[in-house]
Amino acid sequence: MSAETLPRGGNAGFAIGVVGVLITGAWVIWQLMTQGHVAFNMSSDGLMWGLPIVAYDFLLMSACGAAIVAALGIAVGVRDFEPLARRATWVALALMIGAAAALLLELGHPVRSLYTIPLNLQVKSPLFWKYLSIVVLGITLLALAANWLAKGEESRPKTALTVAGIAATFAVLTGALLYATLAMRPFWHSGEVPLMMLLEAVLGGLAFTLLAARAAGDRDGQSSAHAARWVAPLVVLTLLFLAFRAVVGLASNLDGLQVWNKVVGSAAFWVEIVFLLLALWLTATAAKRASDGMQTLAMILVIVALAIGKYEFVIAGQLVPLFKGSWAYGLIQYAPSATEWALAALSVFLAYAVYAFGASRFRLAG
Amino acid sequence: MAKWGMVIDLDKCTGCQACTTACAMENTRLPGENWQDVLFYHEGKYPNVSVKWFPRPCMHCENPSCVSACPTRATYKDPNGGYVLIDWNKCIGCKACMVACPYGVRFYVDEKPLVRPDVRSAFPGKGGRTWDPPYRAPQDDPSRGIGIQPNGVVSKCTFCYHKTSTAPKGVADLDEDDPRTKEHTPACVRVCPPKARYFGDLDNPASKVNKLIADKRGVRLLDHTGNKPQVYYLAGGAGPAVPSSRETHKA
Repeated sequence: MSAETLPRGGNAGFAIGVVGVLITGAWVIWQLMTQGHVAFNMSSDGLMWGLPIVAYDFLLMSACGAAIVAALGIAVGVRDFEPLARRATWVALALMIGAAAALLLELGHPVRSLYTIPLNLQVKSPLFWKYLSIVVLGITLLALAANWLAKGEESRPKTALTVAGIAATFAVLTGALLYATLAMRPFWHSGEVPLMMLLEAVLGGLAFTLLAARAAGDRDGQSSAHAARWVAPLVVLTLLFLAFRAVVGLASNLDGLQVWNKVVGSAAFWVEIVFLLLALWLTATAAKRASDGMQTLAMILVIVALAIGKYEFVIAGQLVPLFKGSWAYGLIQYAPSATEWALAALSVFLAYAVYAFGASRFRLAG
Repeated sequence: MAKWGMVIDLDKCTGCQACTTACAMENTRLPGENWQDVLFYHEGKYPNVSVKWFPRPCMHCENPSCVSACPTRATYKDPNGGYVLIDWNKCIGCKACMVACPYGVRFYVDEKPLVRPDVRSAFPGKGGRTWDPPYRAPQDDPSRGIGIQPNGVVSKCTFCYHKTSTAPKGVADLDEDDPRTKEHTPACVRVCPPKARYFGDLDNPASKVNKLIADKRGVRLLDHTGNKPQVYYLAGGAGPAVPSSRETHKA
């Protein structure tokens, strides 16, 4: 590998990621060892899925999105994504590892989950199918990393990336089905949610990949600028979905949809909207897409906005109190604990450390 | 085999919470983590306010959404008796069942305690159990979610499986007033002072529960979800009504 093809600052990034993992990991492990999951602001009569699940789901869906981007580039032949395929593959693996950390530290029995899900064949559960597709995706990405990225080969592993793309799409859609079980609760799950989650996954995966490409100084054949053309339409669709769901939620008298009053009344919702609009503006023209600084900013805005959207989706759906404890008018109050924030940060740092490790050793540029 | 069901007469229920207490003692529940809750709420605005209450066990649904959500078959529908049970040896604590249940009947006690001080620090659990109080009920069957709840798993009302599953074959109702079935009657039913609770075989046309459901127009909570609870409520209008819709946020 020539010095030119190596990314800038890979080792420094790895060091930052490792330090972040050590600091946040030490805090989380200490809290879990001394208090257990009491360190989380969740309870039997409050929220069941808090910030750790938000972090897990956001990173996992983005990982799937990055895998889909890689598959579109090589297996489907979308030329704009082809130069990004190698980087997107590694980004997908890094995000998936970060997501796994958030989930495993949140589960009651993480080790047991690894074998009870495949062995009990509960085919009615969306989680079973999601688990299977994630396993297939993970194995495929590892194989691609070992045989394609690590060896720096110029080949185009169409078959492997086809498998990865299908598995990633299936994981996103089964993940959306999982949230369909929330329809049993006062919630706003509806038929368009799987499509929305697929859209957000691809946008998230593309944003992470483009951010990584810009940070690496990778502009071979203006790959980033070409792929960035896809961001604006995806952002428009995301905004449309958001607006549609908010209007339906605010207009409806259906039990549970009152949560939209709280969502729309929160500052985070408007930050999400403004960030998406800013990202749209920054990616709308070719001149702006050629700017390193503007594109880096745009991708950060997209990632933060999507993370807020995921938080709203997972948390707000649980805010209507159920038939438990003393009856309470109003909504459940929830704010993540310091340990939950640390766990979310741990998963992000871990994903970053894994990405930086590969970026400093593999040729990820297309 | 029987399909056990419960009828709760809201016209008789006084909200005394004897059922909650009996259930907690029978199943060694942590304070506040009540498999059998009585919910208190108010309706209307001052000066036209009324306090109401609503007893809520697990509904042991015919078509339970929790079973479909569970990825490990830890939550399952027992065809013998129609119970919805949890195998604690398979549960991974993902809480998907808690999210999928529209009735809020499931408990994951590893997180914030519902009542302070946290008695787990006074009676720390051994062998993976959440706590070890001085008194504990003798029954212990982790494959059916019976006994002291272990760490990292979800729990719920079992319709007192350890009592009801051993009832004499063919009985239509489990009634505390019948010497044959007294010891097989669920704890919450047995202690109910105004006798607002009835427990019997929904598949037996001669059972009292079926007669009450038919005569007094028993209704099921959130029937539109399709879960088909095996718990029915009777509300003739004199007492608290089954809450079917709620104001939660609108000013």
